[in-house]
Amino acid sequence: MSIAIAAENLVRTFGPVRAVDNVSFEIPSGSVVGFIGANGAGKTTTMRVLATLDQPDSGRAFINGHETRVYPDKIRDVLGWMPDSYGAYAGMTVIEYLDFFARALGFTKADRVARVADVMEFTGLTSLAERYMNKLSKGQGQRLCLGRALIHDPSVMILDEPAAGLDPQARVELKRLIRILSEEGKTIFISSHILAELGEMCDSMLFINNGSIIHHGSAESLLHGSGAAITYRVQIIGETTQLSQWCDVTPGVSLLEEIKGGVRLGLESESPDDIALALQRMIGSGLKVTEFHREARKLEDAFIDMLQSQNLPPDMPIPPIPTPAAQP
Amino acid sequence: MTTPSPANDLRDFPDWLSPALVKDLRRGLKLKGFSFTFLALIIALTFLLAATILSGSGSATVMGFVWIPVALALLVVQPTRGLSAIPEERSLQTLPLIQLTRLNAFRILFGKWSALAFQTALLTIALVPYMVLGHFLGGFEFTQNVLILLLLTGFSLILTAVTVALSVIKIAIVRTLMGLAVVGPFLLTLLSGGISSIFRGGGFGMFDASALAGVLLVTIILGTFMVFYLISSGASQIAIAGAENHSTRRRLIALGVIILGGVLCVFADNLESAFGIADLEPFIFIPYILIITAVVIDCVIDPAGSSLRIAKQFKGKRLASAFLSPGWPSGWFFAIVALLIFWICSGLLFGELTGAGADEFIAAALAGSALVFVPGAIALLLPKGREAPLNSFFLAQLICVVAAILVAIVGGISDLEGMFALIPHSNIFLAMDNGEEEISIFCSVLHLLAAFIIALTCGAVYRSRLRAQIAEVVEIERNTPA
Repeated sequence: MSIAIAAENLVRTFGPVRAVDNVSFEIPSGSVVGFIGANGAGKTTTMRVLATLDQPDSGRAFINGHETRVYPDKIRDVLGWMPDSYGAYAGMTVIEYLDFFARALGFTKADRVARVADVMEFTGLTSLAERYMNKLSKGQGQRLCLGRALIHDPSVMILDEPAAGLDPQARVELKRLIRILSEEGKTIFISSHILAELGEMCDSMLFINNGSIIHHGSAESLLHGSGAAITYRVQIIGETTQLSQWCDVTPGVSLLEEIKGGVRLGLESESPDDIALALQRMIGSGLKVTEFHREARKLEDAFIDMLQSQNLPPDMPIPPIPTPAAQP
Repeated sequence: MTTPSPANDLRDFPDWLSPALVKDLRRGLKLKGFSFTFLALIIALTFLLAATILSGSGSATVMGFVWIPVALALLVVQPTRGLSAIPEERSLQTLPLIQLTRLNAFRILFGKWSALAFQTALLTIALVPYMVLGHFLGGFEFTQNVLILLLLTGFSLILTAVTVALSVIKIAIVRTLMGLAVVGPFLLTLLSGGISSIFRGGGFGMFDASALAGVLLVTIILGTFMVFYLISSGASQIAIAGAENHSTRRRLIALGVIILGGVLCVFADNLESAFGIADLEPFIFIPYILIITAVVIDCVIDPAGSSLRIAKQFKGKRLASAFLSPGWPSGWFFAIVALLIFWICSGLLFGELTGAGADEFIAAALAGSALVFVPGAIALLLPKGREAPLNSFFLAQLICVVAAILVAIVGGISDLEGMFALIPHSNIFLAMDNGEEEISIFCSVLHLLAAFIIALTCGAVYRSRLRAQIAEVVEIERNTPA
């Protein structure tokens, strides 16, 4: 399978800050890859370099085999870029905005009119065509932004936090559009800090922290790969502090979080015997247990566990990327 | 029956028009800035003309007042609007989105300028009926007034190009101050009633139609170059670092214009006698000095930074890369070449115009050059000044001007020879002071030497980076199968 996006030892510094620190990865054509990291981790800088909006201090980046520093024009022809916010021009309607970008991308006459109409239809903006941009809701604005990025029907899309600030309904709608684009075979590189959302739609995920890639793999590999404790939710009758104290003194058990009427605790062992023993000990120590059940592990927990447990050297080898076909 | 798509309404502007122009025109004509200016101007002119015709007062006096709202709209309001061209795109974060299309930075800025120019042209056209009415009902001189109107429009378009180029300055206060420096003099003249007197008695009132046509011709020629040069210079500032090269073409054209200007300077007397034109020198020298000033400033503020794409253009062209590659490191060398041509060619004309001797010319030339090069060198020492010296340069200029004013206040205007040595902006007055040429030249040489040493030192890293990139390009091409 061909590689749509590749980064090779990318470094980008701003004064003393290494925003992107020796980042390398490859994204196969047609896959949807999530890019996850905290604010300031280096996501946007990496994406800007890939989108030819910035130049790396060292290293190379490729889109469809073209190096970003040498062939920016070729890359721009096949690349759709969507930032986290869209600039709403005063005095400009939705249709005028899309028409401007269609003109700027070289579409003329009937082609231009057709592209604008197609994009408005795809993003559900036809009924809002004459509405001024600064009167759009955030969700409508993001759909417009996605529509603008799609005007020239790019094969590679880089979406920087497209769901930031959207309400749940708009988020669902955006996910639906991204899913359709993915089914059309576009390569989509999408950043977000909402892990669960990316887990659902991405073939694999790239995790970046302090400018360095710390994990590259599927959501499943993250959930099962960090070696963190298995989480149980326990509810008792009486003071929660008793249960907390019990966790502190019991080997193989760790207190994760106090919740109303109980705790979330971690068990080191997955063995049914050990789990039964832990419950037996809990009841044996006088705690009136009303609920004891295993929680499905959240991606966020897995990510935080990974950040806490891995103090990776900068030259850590990056795991190979699973291809979309290999995904369950 | 199917509903027609709203996209079918998108044929209001033809495809051959620049997309940036279409975008800014669609918006500009809808926004309050233009509508308000247009309406206010029409109302003011209607009122003034009606008053003139009803009162039967003299045409020259009234025409002086008629020009006030016209000059205000063309020389102050329209150019001021240019200052917000790029800041708006920056605040909306739309610049990267546009840069990812096929519009390069030049076309983006040119679109901004042409949208404003189109609106200025609409204002001008709307004024012509008033000139006709004034001629038939108020006895105004039609040809002369139309020429003055065209001249004002020309100035307006040049000033708008200046403000659109200045709009790339990121620091708001510096941008505002520079904008004020451009339109401020016109506003002050208007407020003090100066424009009225210019058009009534002196200034343009003294010119006959043929002289005005000559000024208009010079304005059009100068304006065409200045608009291109300023927009191109601004484009270099907003282009994605190292991705676009506007500098080489701009410098080559500037070199041609400077050589042409030099030839005109040298043969000014012959041209006067050949064409029977009197006093041609100011029409050559003043535009020439404006051009060289713009070129030298541009060369020291051109952002440094190159990429493999740009390096590829200079493969095997060592001399071209030293003078014409984008960025101030080569810009300083180009500025020296341009200045040398200017000095050599304009020396005689300067003497004829001002009656100054060689010493005075050298003192003025060196002190004038230091006004650009010293702040240019200071800019390189300020934070972020080496990658993109534009903001730092204008900050350094402000610092120098304030320092010069302080020196003048503390020490008095005269008897300041010792303190003049410190600041080039004070030294320029010394250069113009009869009998102080030697000390001025000495100070200027020191200023320029220091500035060039700083520029050479700071530029070394960029020059070696470009050489390395050229070598990388050669290597890539060697390894790429045919």
